[in-house]
Amino acid sequence: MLELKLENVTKRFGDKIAVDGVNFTWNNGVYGLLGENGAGKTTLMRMLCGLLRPDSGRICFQGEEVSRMGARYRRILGYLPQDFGYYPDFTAQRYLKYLAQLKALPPHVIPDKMEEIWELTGLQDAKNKRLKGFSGGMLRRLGIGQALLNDPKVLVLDEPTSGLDPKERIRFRNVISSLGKDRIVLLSTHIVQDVEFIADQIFIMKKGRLLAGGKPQEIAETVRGKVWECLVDEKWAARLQQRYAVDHLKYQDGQVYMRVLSQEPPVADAKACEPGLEDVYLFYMMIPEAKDPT
Amino acid sequence: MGMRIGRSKKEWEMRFLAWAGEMEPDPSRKGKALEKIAQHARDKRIEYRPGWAKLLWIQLCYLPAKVWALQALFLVLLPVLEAQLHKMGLPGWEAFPALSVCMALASLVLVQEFARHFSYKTAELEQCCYLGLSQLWLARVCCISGLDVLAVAALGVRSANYYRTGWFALCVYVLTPFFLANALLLAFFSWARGKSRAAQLGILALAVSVFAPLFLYRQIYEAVWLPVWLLLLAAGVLLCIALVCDIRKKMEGDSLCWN
Repeated sequence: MLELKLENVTKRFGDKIAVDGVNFTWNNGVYGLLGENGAGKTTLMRMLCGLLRPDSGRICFQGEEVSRMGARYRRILGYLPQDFGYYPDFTAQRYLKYLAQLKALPPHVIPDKMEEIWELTGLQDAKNKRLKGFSGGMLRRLGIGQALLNDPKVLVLDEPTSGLDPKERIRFRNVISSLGKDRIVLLSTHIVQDVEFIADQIFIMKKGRLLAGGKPQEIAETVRGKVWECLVDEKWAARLQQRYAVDHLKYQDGQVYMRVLSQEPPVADAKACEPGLEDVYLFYMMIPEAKDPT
Repeated sequence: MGMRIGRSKKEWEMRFLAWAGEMEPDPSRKGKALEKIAQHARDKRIEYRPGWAKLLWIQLCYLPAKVWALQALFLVLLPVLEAQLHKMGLPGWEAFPALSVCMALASLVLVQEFARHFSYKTAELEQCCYLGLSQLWLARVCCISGLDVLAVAALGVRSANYYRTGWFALCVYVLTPFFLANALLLAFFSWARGKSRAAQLGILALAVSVFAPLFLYRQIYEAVWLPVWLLLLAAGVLLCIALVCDIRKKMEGDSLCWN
């Protein structure tokens, strides 16, 4: 069983605390990190990859601090940065081979591994094209592929599905889901559906802190009784939108269907409904700013 | 029933095999043990460690054609320029500044190669690989600067007699501005990144002004000034090493902006 442990990890940039005393232990499985932009997800991921050092606290893999492991840790690490860089004049084949060599894959393994990646990413026909001609989705697919080149034990994917079309997203969700069996997969995103179906555990990060974490069903339970649906006229809809965090809003037959997050029923005939992960996310992101419904 | 002493080894073996044959292994425990062995076999990772020669070869293979073309241009330009100056019959103190500027311009090849990782945003990814960015850069410095130094050394061997300065002094005269310019450009790349425009312009102005004394004070090529040249060369080399170490430290610390 693999173990990646964070002990009171804190990271500051000047006065700003990007990551604030995060404690957690990750084992084999897929973990989803949700949070708005600027929540500290990318900083946390960069620390997990050894790109940044925590100001305080420790990050340990199998009991050994990753900063001390150095190249030994990088050998078992797969990383897809949020901003996947590439050399535009390289063909996909050349870039993948370059990264395979930097990852110190044995030369005899590289051709087979690359074939595996082409099949996985569906870039077989584009492998000889220059990267400057690739679409955003194709680059993202290549990015995911390169992260898997060295069969990593720790796979860190920062916004892996951004830029992918729905079909590709579903395909990669399935791929990522299957990877968690014998490795630690950590993916950050602000697309809730991406992690809802594939993550064994989900974490919500806000202002550098992990606010909530657990299995998708468990975490959804934390907002049970706080999610309401109601049908109101347009005037009321505008009022409710000002007062509450509104998850869903749909105009139908002159009225407005609303899904609202609130401690109490927002209107008299509101019905409590089954909470989903989007409700949880919205609850943690917006509730502190929402006004008291009373 | 006591154990009878005096049985032969073969007899003992036969008895043991008969006893072992009677033992039925627990199928579930056997299955688990075999699965554990299979898992270990699956988990076994072949660890390949490329040596320095391989690392250099990888870098040679992946350096873009533009870099090779620029490098080749300077390596051809240097002897051609020197031959031209030779033909014109110019004395050393008139020829050396031009050769120094030519070499200093060659240092741009290396610095732009450093900057390429950041302009294409590949540095973050490369730093996460087994062979990190610092190893890549070191390999590139060896490839590119090594060629430059070799070219100057060859030039020195060819022309030292003509200029009557000696091979060593000629190399010092040409390499000192080269290393100083390299150091200033590295400082521009590492220290001045993210600083004010005035600071950046200041560094660039300093990089350009390094060459002014070469043209203004010709007497600096007299033998009496050689120790000063040597000191400046040592300072340039040390500064380059310090700046490369600083960039490496920044990469492994937290002060290098990965965005």
